[in-house]
Amino acid sequence: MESKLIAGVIIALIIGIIIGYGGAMVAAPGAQTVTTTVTTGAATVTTTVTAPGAGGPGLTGEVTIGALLTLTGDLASYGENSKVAIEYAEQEVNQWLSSIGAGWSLKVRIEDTATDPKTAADKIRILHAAGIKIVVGPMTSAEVSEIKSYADTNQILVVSQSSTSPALSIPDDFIFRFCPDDTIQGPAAARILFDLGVRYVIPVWRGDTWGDGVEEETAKAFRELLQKEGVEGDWHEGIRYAPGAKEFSVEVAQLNDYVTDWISKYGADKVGIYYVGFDEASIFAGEATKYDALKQVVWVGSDGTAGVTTLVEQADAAAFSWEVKWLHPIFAPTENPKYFKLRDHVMNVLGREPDAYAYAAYDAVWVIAISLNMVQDYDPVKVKAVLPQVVKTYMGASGYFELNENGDRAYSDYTIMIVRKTDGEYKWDVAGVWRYTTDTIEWAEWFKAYLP
Amino acid sequence: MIELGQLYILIRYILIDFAISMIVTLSLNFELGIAAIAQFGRVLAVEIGAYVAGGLTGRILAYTIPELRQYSGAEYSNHLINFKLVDTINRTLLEHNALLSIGILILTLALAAIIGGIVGWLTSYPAIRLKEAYLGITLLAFGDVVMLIAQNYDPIVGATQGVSVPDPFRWARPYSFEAALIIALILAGLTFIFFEMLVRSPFGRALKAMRDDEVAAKVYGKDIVKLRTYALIIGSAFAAMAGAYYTMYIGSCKAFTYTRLTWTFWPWAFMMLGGTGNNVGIAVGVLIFVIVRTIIINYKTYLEPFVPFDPIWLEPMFVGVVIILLSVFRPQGLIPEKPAFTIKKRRIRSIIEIMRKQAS
Amino acid sequence: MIEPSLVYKALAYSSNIALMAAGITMIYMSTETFNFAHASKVSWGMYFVYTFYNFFGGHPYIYVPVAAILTGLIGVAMYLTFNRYLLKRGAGMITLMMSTLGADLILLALLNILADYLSRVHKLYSRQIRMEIYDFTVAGIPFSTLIALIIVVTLTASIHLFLTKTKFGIAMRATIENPNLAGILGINPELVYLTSWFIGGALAGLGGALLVFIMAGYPVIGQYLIVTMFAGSIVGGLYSIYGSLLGGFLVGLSEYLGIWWLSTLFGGKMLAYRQVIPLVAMVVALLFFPQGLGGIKWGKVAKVVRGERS
Repeated sequence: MESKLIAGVIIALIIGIIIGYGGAMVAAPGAQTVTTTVTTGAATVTTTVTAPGAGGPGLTGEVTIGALLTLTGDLASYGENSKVAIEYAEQEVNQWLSSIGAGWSLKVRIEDTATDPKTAADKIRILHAAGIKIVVGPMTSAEVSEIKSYADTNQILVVSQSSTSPALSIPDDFIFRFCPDDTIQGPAAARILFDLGVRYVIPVWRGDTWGDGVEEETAKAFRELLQKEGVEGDWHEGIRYAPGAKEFSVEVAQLNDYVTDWISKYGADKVGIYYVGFDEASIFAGEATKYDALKQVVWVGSDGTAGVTTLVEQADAAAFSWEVKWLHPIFAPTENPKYFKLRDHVMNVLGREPDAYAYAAYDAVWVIAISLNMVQDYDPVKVKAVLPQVVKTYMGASGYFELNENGDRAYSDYTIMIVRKTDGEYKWDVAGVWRYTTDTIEWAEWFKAYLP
Repeated sequence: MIELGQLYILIRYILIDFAISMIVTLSLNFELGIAAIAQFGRVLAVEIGAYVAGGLTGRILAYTIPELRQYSGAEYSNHLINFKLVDTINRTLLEHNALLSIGILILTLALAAIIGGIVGWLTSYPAIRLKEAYLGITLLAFGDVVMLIAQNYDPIVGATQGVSVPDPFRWARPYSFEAALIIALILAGLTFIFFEMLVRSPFGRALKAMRDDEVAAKVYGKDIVKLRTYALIIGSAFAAMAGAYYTMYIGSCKAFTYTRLTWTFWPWAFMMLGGTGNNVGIAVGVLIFVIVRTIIINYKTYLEPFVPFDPIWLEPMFVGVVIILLSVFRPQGLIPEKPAFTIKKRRIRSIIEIMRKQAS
Repeated sequence: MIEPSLVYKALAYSSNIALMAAGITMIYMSTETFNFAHASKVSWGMYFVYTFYNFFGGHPYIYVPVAAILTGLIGVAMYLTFNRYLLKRGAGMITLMMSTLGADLILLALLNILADYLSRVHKLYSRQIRMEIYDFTVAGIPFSTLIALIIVVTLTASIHLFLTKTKFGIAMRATIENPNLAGILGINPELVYLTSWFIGGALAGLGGALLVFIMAGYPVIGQYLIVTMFAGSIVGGLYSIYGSLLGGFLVGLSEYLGIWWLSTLFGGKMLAYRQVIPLVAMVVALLFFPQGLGGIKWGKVAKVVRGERS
């Protein structure tokens, strides 16, 4: 009978899944079968021990954490950067663990969220069911807020490398964020614009969770700054483009209208463009080269575009960037050996510079590994307790940083990056640093010549 | 050896996914499998339900509390206000009051059903004028348009920033997940019984008659326009309830979570797998698909040494292969539709027996 | 004032959408299959040009025909592996459509594997490919616009000639209208189906390959564009290649001009609603012409216009 066949199929599937989970457990944390290799003198003794379930002190075997990355969708290149950074951190952590004879190793299981909150929610449940209780990512604030309630109630520790929405700054939850939220980037960008003499800003931003957040905070900070300094100025209604768009002729034509209008009203030296987007910035720049008015005004970007390869590799975009001296603030300091080490690695694998969030993803893996080794237990609650302390003593690829009471990167100076033309070649360089504590900018010596 | 705790987490996930997907798929089956309406825009009713739960229930709650009343307008969906506001509602109002929470849950589902039903009624305007593919793509466009508007226009559900949703399961902490699961299963069960009864009712039979032969149904005096309209209203109302339930269980509502892939195409796949037109088949189809997908996600990492590329891409590939294999080898689904009898088979047999005796 | 560069882009975009829409219609007309895998075929068209250019050099435009042929072959592969069996069995519309959705997922996975390979082994920025820099102008007009328009026009003409003047074209029309009768007349319907899958796929690839010169590509760009393509095909009336070319062109143009007009009127925030316009245009068009543009009796319209009321 057919119905019997179908019943059989279902039973087989259920048995399959149970056996599969049995198999998965071997690789999962708190595993029962543990292989320890001890080297004493010349002899290498390998012992395989079957220990009782998790809970006992001491980490052994392979400990698996998860990573939820945007490997498909329009943020795929950022997901790819983070993936390479995470795999590199995993490799380094394991070298370190074996060098100190820690007796356990780290495995990162990477899953694709397709930049879709529902998929992220599904994946964290499946990771949880596979025994994973610590996760790097998800990358966007939309995904983080979708999984937050599940992570909190089930005590899954989440360390996001790139979620910047201020709405997620919530104390004592299971979400850590290794990038500063938009309330810090806002004042930095506002100060850069202001110090370059801009009083009238036309924003252009990507209409997604991230872009809307950054634009909102920077607008607020800029208005406050105008008020504080007591000068005339304005923030335009601006251009908000669709996140999937990869062609900007209408957007740039409209922007040109706005800029031409404001230049005639206020003068070109007082008008600036604040661009918030990701690697599509190069397409935007390519389109913008067609308009003269757009080359007369100041351009400031955000951490989404800092260090992005397309802006140096694509000739028209690079030339435009240099012509308008397009500045991009980024939270990670660049004068640090780990930064260069990771950068070189990503250059080796992908042939391009990683974005700012890839550095934070690398740090997330390291900090989790050190914390795990410290508490010697795969327990998110214990890891959560020590993690802020570990961060304080850790010098990362994204620099030294601390976490605030919300578990987010507390404050940060901002390195101001620029595409610089030297010997006919375009390269990313540092134009200055914005100091958080004083709200001032220290310009690099070479860049001072180009200041207004 | 299996660790029971983890297996439990897995089963919990599979069951809740199963319950919500089943409501959506049953409603789709009713419109597509029974009433033969090319419903390519299932996501429309689902997202409407979700936006009701995300945008309306919280506003009603905020309005009832005098101190929060000022936030019940457009400001409600501003993310900087909303996240803290909903948190306050959850903690002060819902956390210790199980009865109120259940009341809110029922109210939200009812509102979602009503508004979903209205949307279903609105979609019947094109539905009775357009045919097959034209209708299908129009409904698909409706779903996308509503999603794009909600994603860009803040006063609905906070545009890209989204809103938090009042949590009607919080009173059951630390078993709130279990509460959500049990209620979801009950809802799915009731939906199943409802549609099963509906299909056997005179209305359901009229729909099937219309599906199988529109002209014949007309000849027998059935009003095709009315039948289609009712089918759309009922189907949309249930899909909207599922959407509302999903948002409440997730705890946050974001416009762009409601994609046509997840809420239109997957339910189709479930329906095809189970057997179009057959509610039992739908239940089986959803269950198997959810399990298979979980297995694919979980097992793909084991294949890492055997494939020359990243195992992540095995997931879409396997799902694609499964869909193609199904459509080639089992197009009628695992459990094909059977004639539904309004009375038990044994009773029919005894009637036949009696008639035969009388005849002889 | 509308910038000329914007008009060129709009024309190129609309022409390419017209090609893709014609591909959808082609396959639908002959096999009743609503092909969702068209999305990934468009993306593949883009990536073929990009990959060949990076491997073999020369000018990227020379790889456009290659891309079209290869995506056509993807179409053939889809027909031979599953569509053929489904048609033989007389499968319903939903089964036909679902199977193409499965194929779309596989093609997407394969494209991502290619993108991984390009970025890992060849250090290419493969998740955002931009070929606009290789475009050039002829007499002040971007080649991307010129070639797209020329192709749409020649395609319209050649399809007309093919379907009315060649033996195989007439056979194709016969098969589409009545497969049983065609069988009796000794025409092999399978060959007709195979051909339309090839042409349909090639049109998707051609559209994608030309589109990459005005707009950057990424692996899921086809999924982003598919609703616009469907809108074009539907507005065109699903049973008319000319209709779909016209429909696709109008839908594409409405997106550019519509969003330009809206943002001029209501400000730059409207630009994020870009995707809504082709959809609304389609719904409105359908409510007026339930059979699409192809369903309009143009002969009658012409008579009415000329004042000869029928």
